[in-house]
Amino acid sequence: MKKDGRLVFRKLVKPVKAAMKNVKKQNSRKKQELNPDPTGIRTWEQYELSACLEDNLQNLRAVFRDAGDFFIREFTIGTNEPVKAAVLFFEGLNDKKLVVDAILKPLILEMREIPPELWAKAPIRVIRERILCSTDLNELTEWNQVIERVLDAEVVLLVDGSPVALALGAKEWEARGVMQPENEATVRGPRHSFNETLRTNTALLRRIIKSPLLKTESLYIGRHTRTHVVLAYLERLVDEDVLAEVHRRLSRIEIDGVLESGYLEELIEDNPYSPFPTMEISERPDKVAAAILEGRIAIMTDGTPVTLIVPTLFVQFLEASEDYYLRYPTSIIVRFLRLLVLNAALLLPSLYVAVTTFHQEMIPTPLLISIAGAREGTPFPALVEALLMELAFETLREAGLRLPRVVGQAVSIVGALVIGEAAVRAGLVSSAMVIVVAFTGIASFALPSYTMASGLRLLRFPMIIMAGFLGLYGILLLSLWILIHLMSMRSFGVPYLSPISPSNYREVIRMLLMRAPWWAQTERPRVIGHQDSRRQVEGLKPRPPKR
Amino acid sequence: MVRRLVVINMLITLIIMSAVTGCWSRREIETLAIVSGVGVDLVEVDGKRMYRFTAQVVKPGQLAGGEAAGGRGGGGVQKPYLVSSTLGKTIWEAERNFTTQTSRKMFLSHTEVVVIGEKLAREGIQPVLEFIQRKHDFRETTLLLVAMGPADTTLMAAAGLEKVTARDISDMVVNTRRASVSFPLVTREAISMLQSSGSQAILPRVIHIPYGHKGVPTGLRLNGAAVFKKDKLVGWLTPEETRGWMWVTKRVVSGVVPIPVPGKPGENRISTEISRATASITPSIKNGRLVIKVKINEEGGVGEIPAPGLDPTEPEVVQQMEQFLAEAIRREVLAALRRAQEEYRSDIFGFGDTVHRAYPKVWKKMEKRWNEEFFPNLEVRVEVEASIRRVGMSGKALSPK
Repeated sequence: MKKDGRLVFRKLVKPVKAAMKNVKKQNSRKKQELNPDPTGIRTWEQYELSACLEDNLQNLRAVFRDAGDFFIREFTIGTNEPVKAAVLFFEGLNDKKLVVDAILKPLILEMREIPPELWAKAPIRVIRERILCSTDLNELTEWNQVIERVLDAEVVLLVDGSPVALALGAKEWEARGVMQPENEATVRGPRHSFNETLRTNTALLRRIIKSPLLKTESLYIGRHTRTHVVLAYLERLVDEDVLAEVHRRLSRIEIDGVLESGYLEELIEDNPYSPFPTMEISERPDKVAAAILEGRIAIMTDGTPVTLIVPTLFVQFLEASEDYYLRYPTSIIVRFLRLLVLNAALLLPSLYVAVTTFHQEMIPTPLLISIAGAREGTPFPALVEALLMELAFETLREAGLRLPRVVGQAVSIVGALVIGEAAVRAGLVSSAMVIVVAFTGIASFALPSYTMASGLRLLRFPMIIMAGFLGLYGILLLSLWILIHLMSMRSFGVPYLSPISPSNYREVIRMLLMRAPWWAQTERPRVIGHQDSRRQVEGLKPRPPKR
Repeated sequence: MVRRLVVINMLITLIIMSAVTGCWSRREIETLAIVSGVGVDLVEVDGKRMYRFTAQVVKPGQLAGGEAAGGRGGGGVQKPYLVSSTLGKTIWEAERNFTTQTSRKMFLSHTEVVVIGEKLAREGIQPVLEFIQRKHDFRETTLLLVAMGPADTTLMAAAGLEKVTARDISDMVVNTRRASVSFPLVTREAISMLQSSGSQAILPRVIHIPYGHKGVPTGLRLNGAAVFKKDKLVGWLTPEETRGWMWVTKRVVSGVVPIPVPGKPGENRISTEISRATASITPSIKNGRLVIKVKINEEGGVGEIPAPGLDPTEPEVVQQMEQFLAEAIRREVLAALRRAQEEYRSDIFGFGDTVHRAYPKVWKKMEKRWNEEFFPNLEVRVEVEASIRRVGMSGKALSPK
């Protein structure tokens, strides 16, 4: 036994040294070549657990040295012949009561009832099947598994004499509950939102779609953070090619950590230089569920309530989940309003600048006179005035976003009074410009997608400059450039501007201009849900019973 | 590295380019003198023929009101516009000389009316229309008027309900359609009238009455018309004659036509309001003679009946009123015809055009001598069909007892 143990010991100490050596070696290499395994976990893959508890613990202590929150609780299993055992865990990530009740108590106190011959034959099996009262239990034989599980907040049990470890899920830590969505409020519709715990989020999703076809594939991304990422989709509905593409793009990520889904978004998007988002984000389970039912894929990241939805079309950024809950005539009007607002958010200040500095003949006479009257005595040309006011507005918005709520109100008062009222009174800016900038600001907030609105806000500045230098011609040039750019874009291989281009007039009406009533929404968006295009049966329109 | 250099170079080029180009043809809105009315006169200065260009420029700061005007020391007493005249050997020169008098560039795109002085009109309006047509900033929808007398005093007249005189005039032009004694005529139409051999130009007339005279109120009047031959003013039409011309050219929109009371001859007149009027002109050649048939259809309603007890719903009364109405309209048309044919010898009705369309070959021979020879002796048959459709809110006329 001892001899044996020594042999094993020698074999075991090696991986620690090898792993450390590996780390040093790779860190000293050229900068471009990144160490794919800085933690050395992959090095452990080739090594199995030892049967000797002491050896195992020694190795573990070596791996987790200087980690003050790592705990090893050694104890003796209360059989007739005492066997040494140990539980390993990180403090604060487990339900301590559960660890005591489900692991320590039965192992220490209730072992006497086990027939000794059974115990002698297969101790781990006995523990697994007869002792431990836990729903989540796995057998581990490899070192890397043990390390990963412990790091992933599981409790690992090692028993002397058997080269198998047991991992128990007893995760529990301080977390935010399921609350109302902060950024996507609705009047009608469910009020719960994702939170930072991935398991809660998948559970929320599973509660909406109770289908065996709902798949939740797990991935771990981040060399240090090992962030849990889940791909949720409906099998048979999802486009296999898109799914494969998502897998491919996610698997090539090698990064220290993923703290938010924004990391992933930038690492896997189709057009990294574009101001337009190609992925929808949402913190609403119902919105994500709706997307999954369209045949799209949700990428959920642990540690953030924000879920990515791919592929996403341009027109889908103009939709809010509430569109589908409110009655359809209202939604149709709102759709038109949003189209208007989309253009206003991008073009309004630049149109004002272009028309007042180049094309005065285009303005109706009374309006021209009142604009000229308002601008009389203002010191700056319209272009400079527009840029200044836009900057002032952006500053206000940014300040309002970051400030504590108590101070926020002061900012808005000062902003509204100083920038709006006083600047006009003092004759620094014209009141017409204040109106234009204020309306544009409101228009950009009226868009349901924050990311899309930010993109448009970004483009507003070059647009104003073009308008100031070239007038309407400049606006047209830049608009065409934007349009060409939009047409060339794809979201995970799906044409971004579809159904406008490539055109499908029925879908243009159904997705962009109208919101079809539910009894008429018989088909999924064609470019996304073509695997199974029928959504419901025909003829669901309510009608009086036939006699 | 190379790629990064290219990008940096492009950025630098772009920044330098935007600084170098400046803002070509950029003009801030407050640096413009927004002209709302233009008057063109022909005057003699030191024995030289000069064009006088009068512009009415609005002062936006005072017009727009609100903070801009109120904030900067009450300009309430001042007129919200400036009328300024300049001289030049050509109209454009006169227009450009404006810069010697004002601080802002003249901006003509929002000109609502162009008033032509009587003297210039008599000499020929070709220069004015040519100027308007060729200059890029005038609109084709600018209204044209001929002033009885000089044009500049018209624009200097105090504005009525509107704040600016030119605006007042242009709104008046639209408003007079309800009386059909004047008509809106845009430059586009005037130019096409001038270029057609089968019709002569006719422009609305504006009169400025500076002093009261025998109960006539002062101010601007918009009625009557100026008749042209080629581009020269040959005379005026009275308001009634103007409506006579308007009946034929389908320009009547609304208006009041007084007719005698059926069965009770005397001074009293029944008012009828025009609610719809159409006309057709058909030329025909019978026995080698050209005859023009003008057929006018009018629909009207009774407005006031100064004959106690008369029942306007009675078929006989209606029939008689319709007859009187037709006769009244016919008289207006004939008066206009007589003026144009006998006095001015100018085919303002466009009969020549209808002949041109119906008998192109015949027209070829007549074209040269149309206004001098054929039009004055033309036989025009006027047929009027009037009908009374409405009698107003009451039945029998009010009868005091």
